[in-house]
Amino acid sequence: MTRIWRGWADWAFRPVDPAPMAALRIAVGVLALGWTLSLLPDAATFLGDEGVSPELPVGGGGAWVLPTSAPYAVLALLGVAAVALVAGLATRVASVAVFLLLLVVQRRDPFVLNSGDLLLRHLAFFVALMPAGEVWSLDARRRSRPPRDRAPWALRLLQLQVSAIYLFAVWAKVRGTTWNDGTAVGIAWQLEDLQRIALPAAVRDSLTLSALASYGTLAVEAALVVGLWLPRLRWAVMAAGVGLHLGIDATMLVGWFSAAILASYLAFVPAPALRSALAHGARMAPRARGSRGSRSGPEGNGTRPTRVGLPWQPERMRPLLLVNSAAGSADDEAIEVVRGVLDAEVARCEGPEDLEAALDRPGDRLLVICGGDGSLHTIVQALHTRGQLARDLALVPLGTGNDFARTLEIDLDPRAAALAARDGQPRRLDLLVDDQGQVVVNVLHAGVGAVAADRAEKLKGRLGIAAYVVGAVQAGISRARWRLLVEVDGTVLHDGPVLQAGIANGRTIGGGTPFAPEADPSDGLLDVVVSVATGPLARLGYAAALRQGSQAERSDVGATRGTTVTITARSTTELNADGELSTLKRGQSRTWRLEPGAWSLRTTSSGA
Amino acid sequence: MQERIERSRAGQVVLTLLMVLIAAAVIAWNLPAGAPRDRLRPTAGHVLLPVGLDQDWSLFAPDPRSFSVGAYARVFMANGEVRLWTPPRGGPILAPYRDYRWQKYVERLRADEYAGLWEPTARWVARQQEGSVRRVELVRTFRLAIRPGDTDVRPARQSFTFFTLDLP
Repeated sequence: MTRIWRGWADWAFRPVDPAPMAALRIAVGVLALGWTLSLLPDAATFLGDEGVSPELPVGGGGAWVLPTSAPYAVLALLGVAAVALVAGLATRVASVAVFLLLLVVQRRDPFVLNSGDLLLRHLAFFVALMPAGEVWSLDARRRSRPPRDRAPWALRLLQLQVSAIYLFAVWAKVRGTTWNDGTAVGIAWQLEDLQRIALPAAVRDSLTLSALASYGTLAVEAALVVGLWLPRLRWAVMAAGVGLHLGIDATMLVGWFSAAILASYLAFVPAPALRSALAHGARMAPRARGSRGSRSGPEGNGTRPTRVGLPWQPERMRPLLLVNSAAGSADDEAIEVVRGVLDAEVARCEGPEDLEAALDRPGDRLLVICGGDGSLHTIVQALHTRGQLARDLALVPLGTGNDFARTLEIDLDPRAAALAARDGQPRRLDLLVDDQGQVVVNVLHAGVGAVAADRAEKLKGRLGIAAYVVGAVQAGISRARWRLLVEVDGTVLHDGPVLQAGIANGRTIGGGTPFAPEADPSDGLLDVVVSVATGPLARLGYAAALRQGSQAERSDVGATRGTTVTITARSTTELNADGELSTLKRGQSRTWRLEPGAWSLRTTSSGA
Repeated sequence: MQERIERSRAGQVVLTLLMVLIAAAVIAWNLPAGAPRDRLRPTAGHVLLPVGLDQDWSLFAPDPRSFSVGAYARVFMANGEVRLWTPPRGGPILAPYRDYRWQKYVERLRADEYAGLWEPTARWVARQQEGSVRRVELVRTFRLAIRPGDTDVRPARQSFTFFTLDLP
């Protein structure tokens, strides 16, 4: 029960980047303003005491059925509230006003409403519950404190509502006849009162096109029910949904429905993507105006950029915390501490898309990696792939093992690490890159250590750092030998059974176990260690020596240094690169080359 | 204030109950037509109506309407002239964002269950005219759609006067 509650609380209440809520606020404000303006020509007709329905509606209207004897005044208020909502001025008051005024106007004359009107009202309701003015608002600019991550429960409620809309739409349709025989859309195309354009008879009367459109609609709506929640499918189903609704909007008289439902998709767009899109827009704007010099930035003197008037622009140069939400070990308190020290923004990355979007954010800002060796590996890999290893990086070790941080002597206390990130100097660091372009930041090892890491990974959630010990014990008693050919700079170091072989840039593995205690990640050399301690007693001895860092003194351990290492598997072998597990199948080989000083990380010392 | 509530366990429990309540009410409101929905809708309405979340999302479902609808008014002037009033339609590119309201109004006006709208609408049409109006007739139209792929000739549009207002 506790685990269920924790999962729920994490989903509904763990603070997140409020950018999607702000985007929804702006979208709802724009739609409400357009909705108000489009009602002006008929305000007296539909809302006035001498219009087509002068009496207040009765039965089924619900609460908030009030007279609107001065319809233009009511719409003027609604318009003002909508503008304030877009700007984020007195956001909470504006959002509540927009919702209530929409409700009052719509309850006054429900006979002119379609689903789009009601959806807009629903969006306004959910926005009124959100901290929608936390960023991208005049309120945020006037506040003295920096923006904070906020609990997303109202956003989640809206996400559920959007899924429910599609779920109920599909559910109702499949219970009908025409959606099953493929004639539904063809019939809808014939409804003259709903036509925005009259389709050619060849299209309108075609059973084939009708069936394609009908089944396509069902498929897209069904895909949206779940696809919006799945990062891998999200963009694809969203694109399909956009196509569906723009198609409907182009041909049928559906009013504000398409715009409102597409606005609701913003609830599912990851914050980094929204920020990236906005920043891209900000970059494009000066070009469109032809004012090349209007963009501000540190022109080589390290000074803070001047403000150019856009609400999001001052944030561009703030440090960006990269947090791997999926890792689970980065706790919120620590993130909050780090953010407070650095006055940073937070980018929570649930997957590669989020990370790419975060890295797309503009500016020469400091990127602060909040996580363990796995997070560090992932981000350095992404930067290597993008050709951006020159970026300014810092590490706040919030992982379970934090081995590379130990090598660099980065303080494991979040506040101290944040101060080092703020005040430290970049230290040039070597990087291992294999022939497939995959990087190793800390250590690559094969054999028992990789199996141990695999076991430990499954236990980390329950045991924390002790998982590495348990994993090592489990691995040590389950299998004892792998057959490898290890070549360093073209010379064979070993060919035969091994317990463990590794290439080290950093010193430790498994949360502080000194695998290559003499390794230096800035010396332009990698350390290679091979253990052939495959017998039961030898394994115990090797394990004990490994804990002490004295394994190099054993006769069954070989060690050397070099710049290029090739490992060929004589038997299928597990590999562990900074916690990333893979398999080298029998007969396969892979080569790692050292790229000296390929990247840098802020530390309190400049290294050796 | 909101942040304090969201951070406290008690606040999270209350907000969770609120979320569950809203989600359950939306589900009950949108159940397929039948006895369970009829039984649950009044209760769900107590939650949804005050906050304006009442809406049936069965759009064009279970089947789209099988006929086009329309309405217009015949206005008989005191001088013997007969004028036609039709709902506004078309215009600049943004007109569809206004026209749909008239489309929905007509869709309801022509139906017997909205008979309460007939007289006020006829009086409103009369007030829009310059000159003295003697009578307003509201006329509803419909035209059956055909099954796509059928080669039948499309049925003609039919019209019926459904309300007459005589003015002194």
